[in-house]
Amino acid sequence: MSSSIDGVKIGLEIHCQLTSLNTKMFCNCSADYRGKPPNTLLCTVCAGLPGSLPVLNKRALEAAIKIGLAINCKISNKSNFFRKNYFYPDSPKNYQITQYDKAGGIAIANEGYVETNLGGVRITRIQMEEDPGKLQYEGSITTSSNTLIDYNRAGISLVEIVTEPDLVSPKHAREFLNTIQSIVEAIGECDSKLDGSMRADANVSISNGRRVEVKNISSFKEVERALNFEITRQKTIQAASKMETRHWDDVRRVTVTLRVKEDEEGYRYFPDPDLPPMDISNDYIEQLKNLLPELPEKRFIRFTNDIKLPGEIARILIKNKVVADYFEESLKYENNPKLISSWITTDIMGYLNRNNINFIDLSIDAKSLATLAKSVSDSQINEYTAKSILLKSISSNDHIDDLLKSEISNSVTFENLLEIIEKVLNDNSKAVADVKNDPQAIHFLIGQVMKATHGRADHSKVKELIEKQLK
Amino acid sequence: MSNLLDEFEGIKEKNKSINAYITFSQLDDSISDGKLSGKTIAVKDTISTAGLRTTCASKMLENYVPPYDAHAVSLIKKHGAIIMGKANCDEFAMGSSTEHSAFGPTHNPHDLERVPGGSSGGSAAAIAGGLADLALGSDTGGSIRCPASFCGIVGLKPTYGLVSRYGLIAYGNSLEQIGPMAKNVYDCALLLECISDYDNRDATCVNTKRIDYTSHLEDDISGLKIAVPKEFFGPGTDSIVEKSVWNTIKKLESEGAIIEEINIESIKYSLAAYYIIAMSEASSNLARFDGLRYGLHSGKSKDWNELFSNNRKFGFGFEVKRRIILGTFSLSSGYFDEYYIKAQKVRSLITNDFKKVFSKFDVIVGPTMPTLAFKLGEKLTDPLSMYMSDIDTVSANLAGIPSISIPCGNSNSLPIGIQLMSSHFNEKTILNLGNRVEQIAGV
Amino acid sequence: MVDKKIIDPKKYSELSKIDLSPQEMEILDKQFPEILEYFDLLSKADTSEDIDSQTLSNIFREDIPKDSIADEILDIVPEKKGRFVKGPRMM
Repeated sequence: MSSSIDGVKIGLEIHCQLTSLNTKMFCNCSADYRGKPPNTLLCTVCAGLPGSLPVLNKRALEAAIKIGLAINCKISNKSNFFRKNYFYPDSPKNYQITQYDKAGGIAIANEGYVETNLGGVRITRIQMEEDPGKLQYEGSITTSSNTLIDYNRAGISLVEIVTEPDLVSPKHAREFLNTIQSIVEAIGECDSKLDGSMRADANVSISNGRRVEVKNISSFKEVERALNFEITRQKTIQAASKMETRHWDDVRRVTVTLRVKEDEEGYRYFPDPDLPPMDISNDYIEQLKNLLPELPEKRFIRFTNDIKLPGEIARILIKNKVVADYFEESLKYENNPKLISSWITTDIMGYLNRNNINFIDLSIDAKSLATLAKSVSDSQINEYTAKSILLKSISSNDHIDDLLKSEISNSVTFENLLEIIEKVLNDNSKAVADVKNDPQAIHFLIGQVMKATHGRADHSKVKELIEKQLK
Repeated sequence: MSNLLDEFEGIKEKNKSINAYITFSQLDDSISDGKLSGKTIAVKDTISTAGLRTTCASKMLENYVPPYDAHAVSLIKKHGAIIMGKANCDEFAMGSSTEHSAFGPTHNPHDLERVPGGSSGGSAAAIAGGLADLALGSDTGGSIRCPASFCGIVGLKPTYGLVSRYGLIAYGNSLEQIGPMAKNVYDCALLLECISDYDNRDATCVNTKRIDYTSHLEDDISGLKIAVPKEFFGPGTDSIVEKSVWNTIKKLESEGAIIEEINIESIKYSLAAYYIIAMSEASSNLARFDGLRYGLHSGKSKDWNELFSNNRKFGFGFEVKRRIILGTFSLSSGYFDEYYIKAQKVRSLITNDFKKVFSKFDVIVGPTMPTLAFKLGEKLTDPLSMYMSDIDTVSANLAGIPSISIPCGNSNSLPIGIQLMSSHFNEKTILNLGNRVEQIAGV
Repeated sequence: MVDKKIIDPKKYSELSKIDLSPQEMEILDKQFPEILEYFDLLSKADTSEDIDSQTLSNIFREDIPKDSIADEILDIVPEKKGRFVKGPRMM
């Protein structure tokens, strides 16, 4: 584990929505709540109507186990649900169905470990729980005279990943979050690109001070900012003297004390009598383990050791399973990892990022990219031409195969080239004469030929032919 | 059917003195087919009825109209029963006398100055007062059996998990069941048949084979082994109750049943264990009543904290408040182990003890209530004495076993009930024995 | 055994979000100790034996969406703003 500065200790509680599920955790309402008008996806259960009862979504258990396996946890053979009792307007029952690790509570997974570039992090436990609804304010939380509540999100399945305080810096925390992101994406249970699908609360202390919880961090970028602020704040007061909960205000960029919910003592956890426990056999766990795809870390090792990609390129590719899959698909048709990975990580991803397009919406399929690479390997076109075809294809939706065809037909044949060279030499007799005295002057001639061929000719070939002609 | 519409006005009139109903349905003259065709039924007001006000006898839900039917309600509708209205009860099912209702107490039809029992007092009084043929009640600690006993009717608490709780507004959700109440054992068995269909919307509902309870009522009872726990005849038991129940037991013996007095020591802890568990669960189950999504909204307040506290201050009656606060206390850190955890351990002990008894015996018999129906107002100032009246009924809820109350005698026209319990999913046995009791008790 | 004198109905009524009147507080203050003393009977029960209470387990449902009844649920909401449930300010 990395060493920390100022005795900084950070623990994270990451809430991942199980976005792969069609329905909520305890009812059959659709889980596709984004962009819907408020309070449209409700039933007796998720609205907490009197007399309603929860029934667990089978897929939620499956997804939670898969996430646990992917971060190297021990999966519990018995697990149960507890009630966490607290009053809050976003909570339809004024209790949350969750899991607990004391008083007979058994969370779905424990004792995991995740490696990152900046050091490993131990996972304390993973628990399954339901998301509350969403509160909106007319203005800010402090100035709004009303609170507007939308329960569409109430009951959405969450998995909470709790870490030991092994994170030693805000940067480490950010790196860890990115790693978790790539893992849950790789196994397909949480699409972190969806707004609000992954949220984190942090616990931070410095050199023997008390632990301060920082909540309401809206994105992973904000995590680093919030932590940096809080650490500085604690240093200024020379370590926190009492445990408290603070709220990150991302507009003013400060943490503030917020008297919000009960502390641990007030939650009155007890087993939920409406939900029978889960018996999870080792066979079932093994079954799910076999369903896991190759995880990012393993893929990184394969990309660097076997395919011999440079580390930074490999890192970029494994971050998004879709990208890594695309790369490998392309390789199947043309084994040119250097060229293909370079095109993906610089030209393609550069274009997509600048234009805010998701990789999955890329108009060029993996096979076509391979075809393009092949035409370079076969010397049909040069890299410069290939790049321009690539960029034209992404931006115009013209298919690579068509562009290649037209390029090659316009391309410079050997006969054409000889003709062009002859013409250039004829038209530039002075330059030809100069070459005798100054060998560097050949470059002007080469330039003229390249210009005449619209850059398509092979540079070294042109040089060779001109030299031959001038002999 | 026009008969019923005519009678309806008479029923509403008679209800004024009994106060069995909080809300009457809009009746029409349609008749549907089914096992319950033509039969009128009162539904306890803690059970959700779509489009029909469901108050739980509380100001909190005074204007609450559920958008859905409880599973048991859709079943009785399916079988052609005519829902007369919503029966009065103790607020949120918390009580043993139906005096803790925001809509006034229900009066025992046998003596209007006395309680009908609770919490399903309105359901029992409706039947005893001729205001309904059948009723649905709910039983968390005796709330079907107690009023059945006090009103001289038949009431059964099913095995936990036999009848779906979907739509039952929860009080003590690890303890309670919706159950049938009727004038006689046959009707009770018929109603149970109708409401015990499996429901996958209740995760605690057991998907076990359902039985035609009406076809086993006349089975021979000779050789049936009956255990009579001494703990059910504790110091608070009226001698007239003891006498009447033992009379009935002796008659059963002469019919061939084998009687044996036993001890179940853990019964003496059952009341304390029950109340701790029930109140703890209640404190959580009733947390949802904050006035935001439904229910009483007390108007402007300075923040959400004040709004919740006000709504609940004005919405809940004192008994409900008392139980919620005690429940909150039992679950609080520092006391959780001593109260809630200990109560659950005692519960396992009691369940195990009953299991041991049923390995040797078929039925456990005793009085349903230790006393006759007491006078209105008699136990209101001393909550503990009210809680004590549940001493004979709560162990069945703790153990999850089925239990029925059958009228077995009376004293000065006040009914006495005998309680029969059996092992899980053995309703058939207690209905069978109950049927025989009904025949020989001559009540 | 818990010292009855220190159990404060005020604390637990606040935790339960129930605003009690002074008279109600007084009544509970008197009744609480008596009730809790009765509950203390449990401490006499011997629960040292580990009893396995067999219950239901693994009750699940399929991940198939069904229509919601959001409009009917919104209909009974006391205070709304458009389709939002309206509540008072947070602080």
